[in-house]
Amino acid sequence: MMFMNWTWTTTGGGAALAATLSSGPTAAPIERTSAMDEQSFRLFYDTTARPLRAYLIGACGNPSLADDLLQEAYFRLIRSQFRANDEDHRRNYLFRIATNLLRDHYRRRRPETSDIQDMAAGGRDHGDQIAARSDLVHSLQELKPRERELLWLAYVEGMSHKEIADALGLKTGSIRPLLFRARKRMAGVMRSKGLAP
Amino acid sequence: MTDTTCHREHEVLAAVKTGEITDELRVHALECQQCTELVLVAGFMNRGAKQLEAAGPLPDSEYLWWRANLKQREIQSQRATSVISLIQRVSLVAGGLVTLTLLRGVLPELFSWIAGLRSAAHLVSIPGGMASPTLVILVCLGLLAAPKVFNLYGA
Repeated sequence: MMFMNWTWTTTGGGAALAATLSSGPTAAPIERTSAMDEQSFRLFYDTTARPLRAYLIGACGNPSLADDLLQEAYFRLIRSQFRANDEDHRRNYLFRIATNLLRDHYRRRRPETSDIQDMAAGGRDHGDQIAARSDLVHSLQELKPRERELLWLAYVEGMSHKEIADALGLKTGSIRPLLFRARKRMAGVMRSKGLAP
Repeated sequence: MTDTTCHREHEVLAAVKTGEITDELRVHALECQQCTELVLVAGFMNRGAKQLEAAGPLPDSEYLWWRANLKQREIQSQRATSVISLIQRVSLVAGGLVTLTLLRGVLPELFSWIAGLRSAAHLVSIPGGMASPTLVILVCLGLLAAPKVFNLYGA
């Protein structure tokens, strides 16, 4: 029963993430419907930067590029003077910005280049090495960019279909079938790599 | 491919993320094909995500804040400068048009006056070459440039 071992031993990470997000000084609610000052930005950044970078690495497969996109996403968030209802609202907006940046990157990238190949060849730092060894990064690269984003936002970020639709610029009603197909494909990729029974 | 989904997926996903599951939900997740797959994929992704979150140090938040504000100021200053340079270009074009219009009116009279000077030169014993249009224009330009060349307006 590999499935059982896997399932309930791997969920500790999710629990830790949930605990990180729901407690401690970094999770203090941000002032309602206000643009950010430096203090609230720092709190927001401490809460969101690592999950956002993980999302970007998962989606593009390249930690160096992910860092660049991460910085650009925060720049745009600050410059937008976005007035959020609450922290979740702002967080979703940030992921939306990041998703748009990823789209821009996919559009600009020449079709013959692969981020994960570049990264494996470069292998500059610890982050690159972790990502290059990550089964998740390799598996996600087998999917289409939209499928990666869908799966991540739904299963790692735990966004609702409405929030995912907003982030990806899709209709809410189309999320369920797209997510279903992306999950099927991911399960297939995992099986083909020997990562699932 | 039929995209049927289980109505308990939200519960199962929450259990995957928190690690807390009831026996009844565990039995369901084992028996339901959709939920089995969900647990497989979501569990794998959450584990991998935790690994990636730990990958390397993050850029400093203070630095990001400072750079974002600097960039904001640059954009504002570029906007302000672009308005000024637009006004400069418009005024240059307008000035050019006015000059051309004036020249169109004045030049024929100027040339006829110069021609008149040439024809009158021999009456007052001025050498003809001195009244040539080119020479007159050069003298005028010289008079205009002289204060600048000799720094007559001071530093």
